Amino acid sequence: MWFLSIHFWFLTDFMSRFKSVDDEIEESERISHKTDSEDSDPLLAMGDELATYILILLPLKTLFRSKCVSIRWNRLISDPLFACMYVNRQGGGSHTHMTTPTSFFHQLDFFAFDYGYLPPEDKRLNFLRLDNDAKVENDDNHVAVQQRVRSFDHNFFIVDSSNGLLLFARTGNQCRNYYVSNLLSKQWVGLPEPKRLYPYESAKLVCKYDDGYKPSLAQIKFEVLLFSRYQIMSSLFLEIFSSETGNWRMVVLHNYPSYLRTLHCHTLFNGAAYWLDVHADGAGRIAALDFSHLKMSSMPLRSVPYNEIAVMPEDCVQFIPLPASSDLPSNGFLGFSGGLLHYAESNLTNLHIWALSSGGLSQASQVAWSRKHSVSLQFMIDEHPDIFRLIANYRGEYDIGHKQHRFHFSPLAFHPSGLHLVLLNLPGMIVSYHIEKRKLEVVHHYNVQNFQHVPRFTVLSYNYPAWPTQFPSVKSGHASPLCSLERC
Amino acid sequence: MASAKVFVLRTCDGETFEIDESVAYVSETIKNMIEDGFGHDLIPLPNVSSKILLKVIEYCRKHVSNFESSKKTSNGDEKDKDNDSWKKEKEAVPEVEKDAEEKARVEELKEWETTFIDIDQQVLFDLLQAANYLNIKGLLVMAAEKAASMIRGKTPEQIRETFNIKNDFTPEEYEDIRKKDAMNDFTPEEYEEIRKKIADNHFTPEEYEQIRKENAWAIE
Repeated sequence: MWFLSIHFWFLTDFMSRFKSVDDEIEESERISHKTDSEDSDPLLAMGDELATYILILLPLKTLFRSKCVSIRWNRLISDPLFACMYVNRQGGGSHTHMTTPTSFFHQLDFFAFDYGYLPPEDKRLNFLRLDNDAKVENDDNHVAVQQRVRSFDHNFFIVDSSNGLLLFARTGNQCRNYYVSNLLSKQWVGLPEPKRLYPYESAKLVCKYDDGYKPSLAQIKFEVLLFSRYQIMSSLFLEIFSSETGNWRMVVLHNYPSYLRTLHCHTLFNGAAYWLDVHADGAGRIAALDFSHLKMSSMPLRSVPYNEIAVMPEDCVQFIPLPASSDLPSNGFLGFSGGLLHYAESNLTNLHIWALSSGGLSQASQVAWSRKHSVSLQFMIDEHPDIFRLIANYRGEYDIGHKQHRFHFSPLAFHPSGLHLVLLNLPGMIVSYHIEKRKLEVVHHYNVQNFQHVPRFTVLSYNYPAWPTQFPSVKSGHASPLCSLERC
Repeated sequence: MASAKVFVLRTCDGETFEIDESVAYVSETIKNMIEDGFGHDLIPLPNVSSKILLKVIEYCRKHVSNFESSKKTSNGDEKDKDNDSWKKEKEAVPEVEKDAEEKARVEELKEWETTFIDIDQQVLFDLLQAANYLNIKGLLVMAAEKAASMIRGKTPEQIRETFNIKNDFTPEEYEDIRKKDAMNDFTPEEYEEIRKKIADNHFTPEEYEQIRKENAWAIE
């Protein structure tokens, strides 16, 4: 019925336009400065400069909607110069495509063990903002994202976020579907199925903007990296999806030391992936894979009947030893904060955080960890009795001396801008911990049945793009049909 | 800061207005003209009508008197009298608000502002242009914010209605922009489409109603 009414509107509008328009008025006059419609528009009668002055004060959503008002408005708002001025209006640098207040998505980990007892609302995607200095304009964006997020069902899991784009996964019948989306501009793309199905895999999204100067002209490219969390053979297999080709390709790294047991906690920064290798006897190290190698070096393709697998040169991966005083790598956590790699370890009594003082991959030989922070769980309990009482209520008194009453406080995320904030997972709640002030704040509550088995959460930081850009429609690959949800 | 100097401004419709030096200096343009030596005669303002100039002078007088009274209640520091001080005073307010008199002054100023800018659309835009021409920062900011508030949160149709703008897109262009570029909410049929594609993603009846209401504007 809606469909019909739109057609009717088009028809009547078109007909009335046809009747009232004189034959001699041509396309050029329609957009010239002389027609009546121009004079009646007070905003544009003032000239572009003053009009810009006003439009710059508008929040992003209203601004983009206003593109529909008239041709002159559309042209004004779509102007790359306007985009630059808008992004700059608060005086805070235009060379990033992101605005500064950071928000976080959190959701139950896609591969978390079956927490069937959790009610659906605890499995849903949540969106929260930690910084208090978020400006008023961003409230509009925050509300917009909140609305989008509310319409997801609990089968949709967030997997990664990069530069304003998000990667989601959904389990179907014997397949796993991945989707990439830009929540603000409501664009979605469904990726074709990857070639292999791994029982436990990790996916990472890498999103790059091409042109740094003109936000509205920037081209976005993205890649999705897929790798198995459990290493079976002595080769490391990766699948990479590229938005430019619209296809997955497989890459293998041979002679990956076979003492590796699990791959977990990946993190991606500056085109390199970092993950934690843990040996069966408890030793651990950090592996870093520089993805730029995959493009730059010309790799011999080993042709296999229906798959192309490119072989990575062995120096692609570098290893970074863990800090000397770390003793429980299986409880380790990697993350980036303020441009530095951070490693956190939590055992039942303490939380330690180290920062890698050297730059990263290229200086792996001069690795130096500096202990950034250590805090004992007992201290936290003493400082925030009211928070811990909520947990203690569940099982009775918390007693750090008694093993059966202990629980982990595992790190979930570091604040990317280096604001000394760490998100921790406590039974039944997610808290933010401020390293310098040594203060805890509860951010989210969830149900927990047994506080010794706490579900794992995925927490991802997200920055709003300062200027929403269309992301490219993904080319349909010849290997498998692309299921794309246009404008989902 | 009493000054005997008086200047005469002449509008495009031939009327003349006399103002004090301190009031005249609120406008950077006039200030420059005076400093360049054009103040001894009539100062012509061919771009400003008398109706608008009255409003502008009202603003300038308030600005000056506000500045004077704030100097009395503050420590009497030398504050620069340029047009930015209007804004700076507002920003610095939290610290000074400890003084009850200051608080009252600020309140009164806010009320005055609200009444002052509550004007016709046409007058507002003329005022905006005048403030730009006369280079009065505070007035420009105030008028621009008021204009933005008339646009904020509105759908395109509402904006067109407010400003009497003609929709000069062809239906195809319009649909094109609306779909691709304008960050719009979905039409109910788009939602239908999506629902069919993601088969197990159900909207509850309430959510669906809400979605339909939110998107009614897209149908127009």
